[in-house]
Amino acid sequence: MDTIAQKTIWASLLVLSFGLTGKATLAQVATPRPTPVSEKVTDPPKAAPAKPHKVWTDDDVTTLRTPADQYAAQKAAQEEAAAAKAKAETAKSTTAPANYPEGVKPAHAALSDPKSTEEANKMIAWENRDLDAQADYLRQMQECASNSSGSQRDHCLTEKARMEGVMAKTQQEVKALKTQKAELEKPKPQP
Amino acid sequence: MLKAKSRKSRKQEKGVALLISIFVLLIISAVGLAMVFATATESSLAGNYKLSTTARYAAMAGLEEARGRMLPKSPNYLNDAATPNFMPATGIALATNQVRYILNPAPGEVVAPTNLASSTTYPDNEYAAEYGQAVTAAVSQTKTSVSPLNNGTIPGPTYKWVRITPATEASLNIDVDNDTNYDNTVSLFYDAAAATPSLMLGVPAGAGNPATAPTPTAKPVFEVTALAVVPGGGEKLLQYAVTATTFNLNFPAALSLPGSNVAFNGANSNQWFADGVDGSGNPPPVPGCVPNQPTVSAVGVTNAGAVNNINNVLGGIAANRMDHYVGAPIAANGQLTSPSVSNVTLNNTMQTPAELNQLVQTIEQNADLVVTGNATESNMPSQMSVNNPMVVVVDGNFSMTGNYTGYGLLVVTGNFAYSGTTGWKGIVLVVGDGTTTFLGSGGGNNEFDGAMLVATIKDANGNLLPALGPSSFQISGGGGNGVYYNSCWINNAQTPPTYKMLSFREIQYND
Repeated sequence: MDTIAQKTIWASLLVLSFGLTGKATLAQVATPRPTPVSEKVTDPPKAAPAKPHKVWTDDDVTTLRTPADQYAAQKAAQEEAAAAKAKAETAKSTTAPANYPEGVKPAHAALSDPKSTEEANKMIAWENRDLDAQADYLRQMQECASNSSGSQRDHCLTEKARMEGVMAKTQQEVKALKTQKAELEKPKPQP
Repeated sequence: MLKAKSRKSRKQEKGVALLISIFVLLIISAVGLAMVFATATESSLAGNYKLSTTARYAAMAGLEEARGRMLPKSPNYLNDAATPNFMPATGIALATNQVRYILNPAPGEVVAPTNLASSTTYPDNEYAAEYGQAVTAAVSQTKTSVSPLNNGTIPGPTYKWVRITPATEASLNIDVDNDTNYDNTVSLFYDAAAATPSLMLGVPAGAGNPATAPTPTAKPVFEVTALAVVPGGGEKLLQYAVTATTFNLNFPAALSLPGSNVAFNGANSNQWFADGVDGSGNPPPVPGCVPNQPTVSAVGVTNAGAVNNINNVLGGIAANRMDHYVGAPIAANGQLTSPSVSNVTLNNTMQTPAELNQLVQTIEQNADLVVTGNATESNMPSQMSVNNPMVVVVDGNFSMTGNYTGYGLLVVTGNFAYSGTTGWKGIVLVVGDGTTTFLGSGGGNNEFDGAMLVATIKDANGNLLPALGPSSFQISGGGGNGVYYNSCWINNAQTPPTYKMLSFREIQYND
């Protein structure tokens, strides 16, 4: 460990001494034989195979993190946790209580968990068609409630309230689908 | 001495012949007169009999005209543009304060049964004897006879009026519920599908409203009363008690899937529902009918064989759509079950392939339209409407697309597929061979209001199965084309093939 720390200090001093910005990358720092950036950029393939591959652990990296890095990492973790929580909340609100009896394999949730952005787009389009129909139905029920009386009016108002609930649920599903689509659109990390 | 006696005796016998002759003539005259009187009496009896018979047949003609015109499929159905609410929809009773008349005046004659002040316009005093109040206190509607009497050349029946009223305990003089009270405010019903077919009281729905059916298959009883008065003085007042004969279909679920191995795939859309609450969704109202039957299951299956059909259905419902199948049983706190998928018992005309096959044949015999081969909505009768539900049998596959809505009783013996904003108000029976499938990919806001049943009764070769086979219900799409239980539309879809006579009587007419 000491050797690595010393090398790190030397590498940092070397980079600073060359008047560079101080954004030394881990790869650069990890290079056993510190080389000027210009040299590394021009001929990186030759340098890498020449030395044995070093596997870095989290512990190793931690030692390299500055307080600013640690703050950034902490913040990212918090955001990730918040996103996960939001996703869980969305899933909870759109999934009915599990009423499957024993021995019945639960079916997949409808219009949820797309496997690709194309599939997500199809699901969102489906939901939007349904939303249009639901809005139309709400209009019909509103007109019915306005133009009728007694039990018919009560029926229309009940139906309107029911469809408002359905519509809110559909909008939540669309929101969840858009979140899932955004996740799918994010570039996947290179292997 | 002897000679003298003989002369005296002969003298005494003089004139006897005359007396005898006179006596004989008297007897002959008496016999003759008796024969004359007897002939006159016979003639009078024959005349009276002729008048009575003529009046009887005239009154019968009135009864039969009314019985025929009560059928919605009659070309002279009593409900028309002028009197759209003359008769209630099938399965609905008349309120007890309602009375209907068909009038049949001779040329230049006035027939006014509600004018009790005039004895020359054939007043209906019998109404008060049956209903405890004068007919003037009731709400009446009138129509005229369709007989060609008024056209002159071909004389029609010479009845004067026919009255149609809801039957009550008091009007029929029958204590149906044995409470020693002859009720006159609640209509009577007759349940021909009950284990012991019988009269029963309707469920009161408040003053001025018709009572509702006490059981899903009970139909209201009507009194049809006809008065005939023929020239010469013959008059007859006859009365039927009639009730509609229908297919007596009722359903224990909004969607019934009897069979050995149900394949089920529920809808994706968020507004697709299977709802067992009577009158749920947004159905067009059936005039005079309030959905008030107990809540049924959303999906009903029969547990034929070892396969658990409930699990088959539940396994086909998306995880986030379980609460879209609502219905019985209802918890103590009034909460509906969700998902409502239950084992059910179908009524005794739909439990086996043989029974269902017989039912389909009966429906086919009474259908308004039978399409042999595959059909689409373009093959449906154009007269079918919300006010004119019809019985249609498609002996093949049926595909419904666009914005089409059907009304009545639909039987499909092959596959039934729908898409778009399509729906049906009434009963849909998909009862066919081994390929029976219900395929839905709808959208929009249409609905299936009433009840639906999908069952396989034949194998792929058309042979009747010993037990119901596997059926398939697949809604790959969704939209709002859900299935909503509706007892009013179930009844309204079963347009009666006829009105069955329950009783017949002759009443003394007092004008």
